[in-house]
Amino acid sequence: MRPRRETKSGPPFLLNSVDRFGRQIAPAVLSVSMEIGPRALAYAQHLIGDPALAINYFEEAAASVSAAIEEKKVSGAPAVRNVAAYLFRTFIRMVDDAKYKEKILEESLKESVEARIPLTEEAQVEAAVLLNEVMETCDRASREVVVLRLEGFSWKEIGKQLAISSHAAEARFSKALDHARKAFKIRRPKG
Amino acid sequence: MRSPLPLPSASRKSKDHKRKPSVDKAFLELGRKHLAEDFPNPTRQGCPQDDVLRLLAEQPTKVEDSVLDHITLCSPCYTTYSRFLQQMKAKHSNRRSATRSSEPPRV
Repeated sequence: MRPRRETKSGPPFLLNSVDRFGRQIAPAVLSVSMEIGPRALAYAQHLIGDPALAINYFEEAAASVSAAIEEKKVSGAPAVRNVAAYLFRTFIRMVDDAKYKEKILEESLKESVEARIPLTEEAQVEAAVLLNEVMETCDRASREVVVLRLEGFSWKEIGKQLAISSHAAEARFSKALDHARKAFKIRRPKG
Repeated sequence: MRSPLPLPSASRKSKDHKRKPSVDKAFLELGRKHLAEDFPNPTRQGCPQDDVLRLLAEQPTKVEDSVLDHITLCSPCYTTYSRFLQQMKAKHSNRRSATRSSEPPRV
């Protein structure tokens, strides 16, 4: 019999139970982190390049999610539906924010050298951050409206698809984006 | 008696209601690119069947929330879902044009 070919496995994925600020990661969140960690880190490495920095952000995201879950429990707010998705989005948002800050820094440095600054990459990161914010915080109907709009559907088509009026579709889209922009501005560093 | 000219308030109202480009095209283009490219999932971890994605495109209310969550975190699934959406859109527009062409011309 032909021996089975062994698949090469990479080094084990290890995560600290506290983030770099000393905040605890809840055991439930830690186990979810171990599941989605490799995939999430692959994305972050692709974007920011540094694996150590990516792990730092991932631990930070896990600690933030742990704190958010605890806070929701205490305040009686509705529980997080899907911890893995919630954690993944929090992490992606952190990475995107970091990339955005890095871009701003790079561009302010370039500014002294060059008169013109290309904005395309900045716009790309900003769009990603806004979209992640919408996907993380908005209700299902709004998320569906946003996805269909991204796919080039008209308001009328979206309304028909989701059994709402075209005006309601347009309003949901604007509201979702306004909400995301506001949240983004709050988090965005001043200056 | 009514003035044949538009009243000042009416003309102001029409100016206010002028359609402004609510969201720039760039956001839609970049957003779509983000979902379609930035979430690689080579091992297709947690991906639903294509049938489920087709159902999400055609009858979204019949599909669970988790599927919608998934497509916004998995570029391969988003791309498949996008293809189903475009197919559905094309089918609808073909049907509409066929109905229009079969109608008798208006006199």
